[in-house]
Formats: sequence, C-alpha cells, structure tokens
Amino acid sequence: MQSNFKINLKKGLRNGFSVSIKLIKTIVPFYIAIDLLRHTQLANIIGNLLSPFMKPLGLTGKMAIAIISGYLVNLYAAIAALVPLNPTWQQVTIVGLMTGISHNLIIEGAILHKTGTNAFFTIVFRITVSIIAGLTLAEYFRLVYG
Amino acid sequence: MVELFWHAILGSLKLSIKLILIIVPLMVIYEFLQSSKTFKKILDTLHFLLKPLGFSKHASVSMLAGIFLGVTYGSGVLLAQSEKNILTKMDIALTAVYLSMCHAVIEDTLVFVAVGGNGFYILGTRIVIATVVTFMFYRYFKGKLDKA
Repeated sequence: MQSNFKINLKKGLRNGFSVSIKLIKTIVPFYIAIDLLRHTQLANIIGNLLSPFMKPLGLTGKMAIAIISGYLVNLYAAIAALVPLNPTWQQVTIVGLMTGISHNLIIEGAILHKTGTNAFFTIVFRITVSIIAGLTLAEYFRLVYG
Repeated sequence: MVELFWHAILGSLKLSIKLILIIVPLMVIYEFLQSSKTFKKILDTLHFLLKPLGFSKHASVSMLAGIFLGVTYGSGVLLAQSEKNILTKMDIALTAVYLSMCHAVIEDTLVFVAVGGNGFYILGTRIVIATVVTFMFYRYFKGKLDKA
C-alpha cells in the first residue's frame, strides 16, 4: 500500500511536471507577444478589422487573436493571448468554451486521422461546432446578464 | 520600454505559476484515482450513461481516458484497443466524434476558471453539445455501419 502511494505520487508529479514545462513554453512567449502588441497601432488595426465578427460572440476584435491562437496551438496560447486584454468573466467563459471544443487542430487532427477519421472533416467540424456553441452561450449571456 | 517588457514577463510568469498550481495536483489526483477501486465503479457508471448513445462496454476505458486526459492519450488507448479488435466500428467512430469535441475537460475547464471563467458554463455546454452531436451521428451511422 505504502509503495503504491509512492508510485502514484511520483507518476502524478512527473506528468504534472511535463505538462508544466509545455505550459510555460507556450504561455511565456504568447503572453509577452500579446502584452507588447496591444500597445501598438497594429493591434488596433487588427481589432477594428475583426470586431464585427467578434461582436456576436460578445468579444472585442483583439480577442480574435486568442481564439485563433487556441485553434492553431493550444488552450494555453489562448489564455496567454486573452489575459493581457482584461476580459470579463463572460468573455473568458466564451473563449474557454470555443477553444475547449476546437484547439490544437493541426496536431490533434493528425492523431484522430490515425484512428481512421478524416482530418479535414474533424477540423471543419470542430470549428463549426465551436462557433455555434460560442454564439449560443453569448446569446444566453446577453439574455441573462445583459 | 523596459518597463513594458518587465510588465509582460512578470505577467506571463504569474499566469504560468497559477496554472501549474492547478495542473500538478490534478495529475496526482488522477494517478490515485486510476489505481483505486473507485475506478471500476466510475467505468460502470460511464458505460450506463454511454449505452444509449450507441457505445459498447469496451469503449468506456478509452472514453474515460479521453474525457479526462485528452485526445492524445485517449487516442492512444483507443488505438491499442482497436488493434485488439474488441471495439466495434461504431465504438471507434462514436468515440472519435465525442472526443473530438469533449476531451481533457477537467484540465481545460480548470485553467479557464483560474483566469476568471465560469466552469459550470464551459463544462456543461461542452458535455451537452458533444452528447447531442454524438447521438445524431449514432442515428446517422446506425444503418450504414451495419451494412459495411
């Protein structure tokens, strides 16, 4: 029993450590890039350009960067890009839902492809589902919280 | 300028530490859960819940791994099991559909809760949507896979 406890603890810590390394590698560069970028004129241009598309989701134009980072890389990239933009809890929730459904599309698509599922189909499918989910929750938030 | 950099670096480190404090205990808890007797009970409960969606009993293990750990690990278990030929074609198709939308949910949800999101809405919406869509696929596949 005692040795089992040690093995579990060790394995859990090892997994946690390897995920932490991956996390830092993503968070630090993305966070720094977005935190610096948001002070530039480029961020305003991107923000204004994308703001009509983000509005139905209850997000600002700049937050599109967080969604795209999540789609292409992973959730940590999405969080790192979102947090410097001072989001409300509703905005964090929407981005969490959308990137939760649809993230790391290139790598995960390749993995699912190995199990016999069409990668192109899963990518289009996940993006579609995430947008529908995001729009639905945003509409709900508007009704309930105004 | 230096101040902006410093602010960015400090912010990124703060966020990293916050998330690590959530991830590491979670991984430890999962290891303990996996080797405990409760694990089998969880599998049985999961099977009971998944049966109406068209999953066979053997699909529960890869579904559980996928839901909790993520598609990378879940697919590993799924591949190992599909090589053993104990999963039906329907199991593989439905697991891929469900897990493509709903995996690593505990980790995903908690990291967004850590930065101020609402976990109930994130997790609840994901489970509802994945379940509804998987059921739609089950209905759609039902006739087709039997013939194949």
